[in-house]
Amino acid sequence: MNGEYSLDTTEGMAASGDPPTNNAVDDYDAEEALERQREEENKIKIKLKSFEGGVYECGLTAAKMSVMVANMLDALQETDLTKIATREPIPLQNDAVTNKALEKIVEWVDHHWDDPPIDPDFDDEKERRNEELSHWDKQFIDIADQGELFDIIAAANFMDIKGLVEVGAKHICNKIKGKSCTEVREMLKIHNDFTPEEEAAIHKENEWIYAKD
Amino acid sequence: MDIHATQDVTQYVAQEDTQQPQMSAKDSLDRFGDDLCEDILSYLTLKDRFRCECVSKQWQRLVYTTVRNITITRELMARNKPQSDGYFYDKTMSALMKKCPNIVSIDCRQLYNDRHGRRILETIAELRDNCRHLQGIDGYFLRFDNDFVVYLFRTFGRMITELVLNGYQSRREVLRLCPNIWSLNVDDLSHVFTESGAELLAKNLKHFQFSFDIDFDISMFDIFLAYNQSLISVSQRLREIGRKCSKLKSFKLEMSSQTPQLNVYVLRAIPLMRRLKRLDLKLQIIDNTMTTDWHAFDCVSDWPKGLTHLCLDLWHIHFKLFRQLETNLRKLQSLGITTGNTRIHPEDTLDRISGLPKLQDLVIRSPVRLQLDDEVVMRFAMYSSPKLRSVTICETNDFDGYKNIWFGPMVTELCLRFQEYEREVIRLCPQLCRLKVNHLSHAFTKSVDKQLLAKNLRHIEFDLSTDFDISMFDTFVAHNQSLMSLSVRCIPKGIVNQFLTRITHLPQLHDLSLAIYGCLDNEYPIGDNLREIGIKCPKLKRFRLEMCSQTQQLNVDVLNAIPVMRRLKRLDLKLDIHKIDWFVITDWHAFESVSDWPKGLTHLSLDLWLIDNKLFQQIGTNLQKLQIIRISDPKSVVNYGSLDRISRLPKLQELVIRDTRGKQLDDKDMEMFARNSSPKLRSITISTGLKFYCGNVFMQFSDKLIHELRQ
Repeated sequence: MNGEYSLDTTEGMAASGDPPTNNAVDDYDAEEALERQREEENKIKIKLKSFEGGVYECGLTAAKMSVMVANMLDALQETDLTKIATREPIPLQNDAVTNKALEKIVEWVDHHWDDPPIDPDFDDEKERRNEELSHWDKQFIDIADQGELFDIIAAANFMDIKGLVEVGAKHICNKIKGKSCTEVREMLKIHNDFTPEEEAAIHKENEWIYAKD
Repeated sequence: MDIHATQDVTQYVAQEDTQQPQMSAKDSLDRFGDDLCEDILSYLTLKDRFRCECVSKQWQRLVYTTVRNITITRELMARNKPQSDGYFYDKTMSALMKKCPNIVSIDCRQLYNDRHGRRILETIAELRDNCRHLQGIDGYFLRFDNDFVVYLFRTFGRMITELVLNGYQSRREVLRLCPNIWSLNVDDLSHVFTESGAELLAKNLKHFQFSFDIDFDISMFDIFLAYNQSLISVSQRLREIGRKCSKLKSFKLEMSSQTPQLNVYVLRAIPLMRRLKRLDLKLQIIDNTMTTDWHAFDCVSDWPKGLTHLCLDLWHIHFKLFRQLETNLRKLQSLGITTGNTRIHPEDTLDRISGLPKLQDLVIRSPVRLQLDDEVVMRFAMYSSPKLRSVTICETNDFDGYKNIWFGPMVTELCLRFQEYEREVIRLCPQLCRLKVNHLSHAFTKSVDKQLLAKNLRHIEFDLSTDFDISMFDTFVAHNQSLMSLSVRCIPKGIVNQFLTRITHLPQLHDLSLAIYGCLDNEYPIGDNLREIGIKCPKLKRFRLEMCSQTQQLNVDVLNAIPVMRRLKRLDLKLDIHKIDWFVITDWHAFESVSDWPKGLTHLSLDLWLIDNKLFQQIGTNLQKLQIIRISDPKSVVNYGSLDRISRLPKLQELVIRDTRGKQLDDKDMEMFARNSSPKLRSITISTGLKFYCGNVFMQFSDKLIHELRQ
């Protein structure tokens, strides 16, 4: 087989400029090591303090899903990670981070911290925005109290947890789907700051979209 | 429609809004700032965006900014106002582009004619300054007329980054107009050269796809590689690729080879592609008399550990493969397996796969329906990764599956119904156990000498016709002495006697299913036939008979013959009378023989010309092991009295009564029955009219179901 399909004549040409092949192996090992490290680190529990003063425990890797928390931890420049566990709780200074919201956020990152990483080389992984929510996420985000739901989204936005904001956003957009302007306003309690004339003008402009509904 | 005015208003509003920040209620979306609100609205569909523009001024200014990709669907085009031709292309298209300042790509692949395509592109060209972010327009433009193509590439050539030239090699010169192209699909590698073959048209590509032609010129590939050093996604079959393209992350290969050895080489080449994340292999062999060493799958242990997506359609699947997958490819998120003609045991397979910690999607395609019991599925749902989102188990299209019997020696089951022209494949399947054909002659060659193809079978299913040559069955019986199950439909009444006497030469028969076509005359020795079968086929455990006779005497003969089949466990009788003679029918002794029926019967299905309480009495007293009773009642004599007689059967699990005439039993009767009957009873079904049982051809467990199973 080797002889039959060999491309020996092009060996020099094709290989020039390519990195040595064992780089890929190193790459893989590095990835693997990183993953093991993430698993180990998640066994270390850190404390997060809500705006209302409630303290919640969370695995370190899971907590780092919040870019804000990750940055704060980096700023500590603590090399001994076990010391982080015994530190004072990290305060989250935003009124959206209520006890309830933080509890839910910890639940979410705890479920998602070991999700497979996105490989930007594949077009279909670049964007998960078109994917439907998983059943777990749907159950998680289906919260009757809209104030609480908005707290979680705002808190996730404040803590910079992209995935959770996305879950919230998709949930809201699913609810908007097919509803009229007035219904949307009512549901999301949005103040209408258009004059009736302005509103009618926009309606007329977008008339074609309603044409066949 | 005055778009400019709207935009002015938007800007004005933006200023006003920032000047007056105000606190909003906790449960109002107004509490969110522009950034978060824009993010949330970015998940709306285009249609919802237009509908929601007038919700508030904040929404008006945010709702379109995140539109990146637009698909011109037929549905959108259908919104044309009938009175104004081309309304969509002229007005709506420009409205779209003006409202959505950040469009990156427009997908026009659904456009079906030049006129529409041209108008949309002209609009886009006019408004290009409005869409400074526009990078791509997808469409099947190459099929449009030459003028249009030239116009298109002159205007947009510099913007084009991806091109699919398949089938349009005559248009290849347009590549000259596209200096920035980085992804290209062609049918043949020669299509990236000028027709004289002298000049390479595509340079600096990143993605490239082509198929091999027979006259593939290796020097062409050299030149191509030399000019495209950054190629990172290639679909082709050379193993060298692994070594030379060390950045290869995705690999797809379809091939069929003469020997399994070549396929094994392919499997062994995979470890060289160290960075591979996605692998899609379809490897088959043409000559299926070749056998494969099980070590073929040893190399899977060296496959790149980073594989996340794996799709395998191999000439053979061995359970060892699943073990290898479980141990070595721990990062798999998506796994698709086509089992080909290999029978896999779902228990083994699913148990192995459930050990994969990151698995999200699993698809198993199999030509034979996988028998999955609840326990296996439950176990899979319980132990599999928490990330699991979907499991699909489906049958591959039978037709394709059997047309390519790549691994004949492994094939044990074959269905050739309506594909008798493929019958020669039977030759390739020495291990064949189970065969289904439309006609017994389909198990013989087409040539004049009619050689028997199917030998040493265990199970066969076929129909008969009036022109049936009984000597054919003799040959079949002589070569299939170990036949365990025989299912024959439509036995013409003229040959029943001959046929049944032949069956007595099959001593290993366990399962016999017969359907006689036509109404049997009174003199027919059916009772003797069956008695002889009972004696000569002592292992018979299941018996099914469908027939119709002139008078009830023949039917009674059948009932009387049942006691001879001593080991019978399942009995399914459908006995009818052509012309009901009401005077004869009052002979209650018809069911006396039931007391001598084999005591081991567990499944009983009766669809008789007559049913009366005496029958129920006999069943209730003598057949104590019955688990399932199905009774069709044509005359509506089943009443509570009848049921009462069978309610004390200690093992009864399921009772089905098909009441063809309408209701005789009410809920109260059934309640009584349920109360008095055995604790094993699981279901009672009373149905009116005919009921069709259809199998589950397709099973799909959504992640919702899996969650429910877990709880």
